[in-house]
Amino acid sequence: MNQENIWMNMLNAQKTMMDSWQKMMPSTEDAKGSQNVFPDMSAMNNWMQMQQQLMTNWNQMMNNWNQMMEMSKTAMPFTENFEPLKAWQELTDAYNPLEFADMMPKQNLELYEKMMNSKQFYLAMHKFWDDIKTYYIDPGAEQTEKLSKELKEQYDKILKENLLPIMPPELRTFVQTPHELIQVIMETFGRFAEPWKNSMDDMINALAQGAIKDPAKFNDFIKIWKENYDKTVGELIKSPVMGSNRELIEQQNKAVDKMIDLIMVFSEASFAVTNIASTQSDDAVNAYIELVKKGEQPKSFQEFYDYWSGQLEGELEKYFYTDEYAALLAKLSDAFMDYKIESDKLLEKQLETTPIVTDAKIDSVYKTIYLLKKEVKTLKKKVESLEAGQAKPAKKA
Amino acid sequence: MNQFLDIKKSFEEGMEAQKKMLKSLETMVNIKGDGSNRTEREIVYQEDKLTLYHYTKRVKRGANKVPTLIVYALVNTPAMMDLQEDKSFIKNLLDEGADLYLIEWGYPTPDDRYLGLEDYIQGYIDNCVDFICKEHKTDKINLLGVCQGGTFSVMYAALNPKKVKNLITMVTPVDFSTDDGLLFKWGKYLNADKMVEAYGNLPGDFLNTGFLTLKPISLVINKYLDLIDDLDSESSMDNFLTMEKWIFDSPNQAGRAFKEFINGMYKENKLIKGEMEIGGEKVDLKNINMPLLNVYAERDHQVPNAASKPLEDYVSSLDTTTKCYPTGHIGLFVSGRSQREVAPFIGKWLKDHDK
Repeated sequence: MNQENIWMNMLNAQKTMMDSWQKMMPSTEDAKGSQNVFPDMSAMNNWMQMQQQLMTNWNQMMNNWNQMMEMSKTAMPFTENFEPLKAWQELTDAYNPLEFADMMPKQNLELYEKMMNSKQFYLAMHKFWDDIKTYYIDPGAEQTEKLSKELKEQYDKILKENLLPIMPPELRTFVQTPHELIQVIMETFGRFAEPWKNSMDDMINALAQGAIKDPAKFNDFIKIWKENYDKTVGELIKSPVMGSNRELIEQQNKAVDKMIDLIMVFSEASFAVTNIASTQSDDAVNAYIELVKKGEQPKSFQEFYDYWSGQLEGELEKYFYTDEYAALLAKLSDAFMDYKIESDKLLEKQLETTPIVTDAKIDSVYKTIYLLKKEVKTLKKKVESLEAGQAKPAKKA
Repeated sequence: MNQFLDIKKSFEEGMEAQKKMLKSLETMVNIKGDGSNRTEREIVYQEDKLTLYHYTKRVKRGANKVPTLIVYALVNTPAMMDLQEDKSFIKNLLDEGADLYLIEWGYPTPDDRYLGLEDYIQGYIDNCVDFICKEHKTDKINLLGVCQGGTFSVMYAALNPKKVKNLITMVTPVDFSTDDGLLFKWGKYLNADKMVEAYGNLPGDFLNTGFLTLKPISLVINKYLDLIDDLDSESSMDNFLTMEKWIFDSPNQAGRAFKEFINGMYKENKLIKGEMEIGGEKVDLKNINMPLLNVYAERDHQVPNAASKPLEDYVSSLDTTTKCYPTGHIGLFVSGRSQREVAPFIGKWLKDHDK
């Protein structure tokens, strides 16, 4: 199959597809006859016809391929008289996304809007499960906990009063001590996980809201996560370590802890900036729609980009000038510096036994050189001044 | 029905952009992008990483008697003042009869991390001034300070008024209390001590990132998108790359000096308050009694007008001139207006004060 046939087949297939699609759409006449079930479809039909015209033109172009090749040797194909370009231009002029909604049947538009809002379904599902928990599980939680506590106490009582006394003394310890160990494990991990347990609802809520509704809520999630981390894993990481590698492990833990801080602050700053960008983009689109209504909108893609990026940068600049952003930037800078300081120390620790000279080792040399140079310069000036003083009387003599 | 976008125009623009991008393959191999520092000069003094240049005079008769020392900022390099043959502030000043010296601070390495403001101002600048005085058998010279170099020059003139005949400050911040510029806003919050603890010397690339953040879309994206229009022009690309090279040619900042400058100026605004100390000596701006020319740019985003304009209110000079040009921080040195107006004005002022 030669190249021309491939093009022809593709265009014919597209034409057939367009024809079929158009036949599926109810005509204006049909709409009138069926008590205006469908609105005026003429705009949609026009658009479809334009696409069809485009295809026809492409088809003709392919049929006259050799002639077109000859033409292209003498003239640029993309001129005013180039039929496919004209057809395409008419099509794209007609395809105005801002007015497309007016062309759609009401039912289709509603369906489209429902599709666009479908993510709200996930938020509704989250609320549904949250309500089940709030109204059905939480009220009974206290009672369940009380029952569980009583069950445990009863079990302990039976163990102590009924089982252990009848056991041979030498076997008692094999039952009693594992039981005590389990109790310690439960209490310790219960206390450790308590901050996470207590704030789980808030965290899930913030995460769901942040993912689906309001990106700024991610910040709440990050704040709660960090507070919990500081009270649990963070405390462990900062606690002293034993053994011959103690210093290295402690330094490693410090670097990890600072990295967690950095990730948190970086996320906070990123959300703050992307939130501005997202809000501004919505505003810019709305403002743009108003400009289109007045016919004052940018006319080419480049003009549109210049308009949009100018608006976005203006909004970012406004935010950059706030105390809130200046403080956030300083926080981010501090977090990055803290991480760098601790990770550099870790790197130096790892290189300690190698012949590589590290910054900490040579720093005192830098300082000594600086002080010595300064002293030499001062002394040199003094010598020059003395020499100048001695030279004068010699001249007089 | 309103047209959403003129698709033909967009299409043509897109095609034109692609054509230019392809053309750039040829353009880029034919350009060097480094036309800076072409004005004739010689090295006359070196100390550590500092180099003092003396420019060859460009007028046969009527050259100024008093030499002028240009003190540039520690940030970036002074190549911007002699960027290209047709955009050279220095060449234009020489054409006006100035006898020019220029300090190039060099590129600090880790062993320079303990250099403080005292070393720069009462050490390096003072040594250069002494050298020039000795060469010219004079006891005072002119100082022309640019940006942070202007702040250094102000402090030097206040500490050594007997060695400075005339003082010129260009886009020089002295009052850091303003929040007009983002650097001034953010500078008050940033922890310079921690930065220096982390890095020793502040990397130039770190500062570049900070500067790009001031206008992230313009400086990181649009600047390069706009460049597409010039991709097929060798001269435009040469100009762009020369400027681009200068912008990202950022020396590291000696740790201690950086810390002292951020804390003393941006955070505590000590110079205006009369609390700044250099080498244990108070910097009293009232000691500045020599003629002063303060030049600033109306659309300066790095050094807001509110930071540079008030200098004349704090000095005791009886002969002060404050001049503002409708251009930007860099435009003051490289724009057409700079070539036509700024350098000739400063040249004339220097000549008028050459007695």
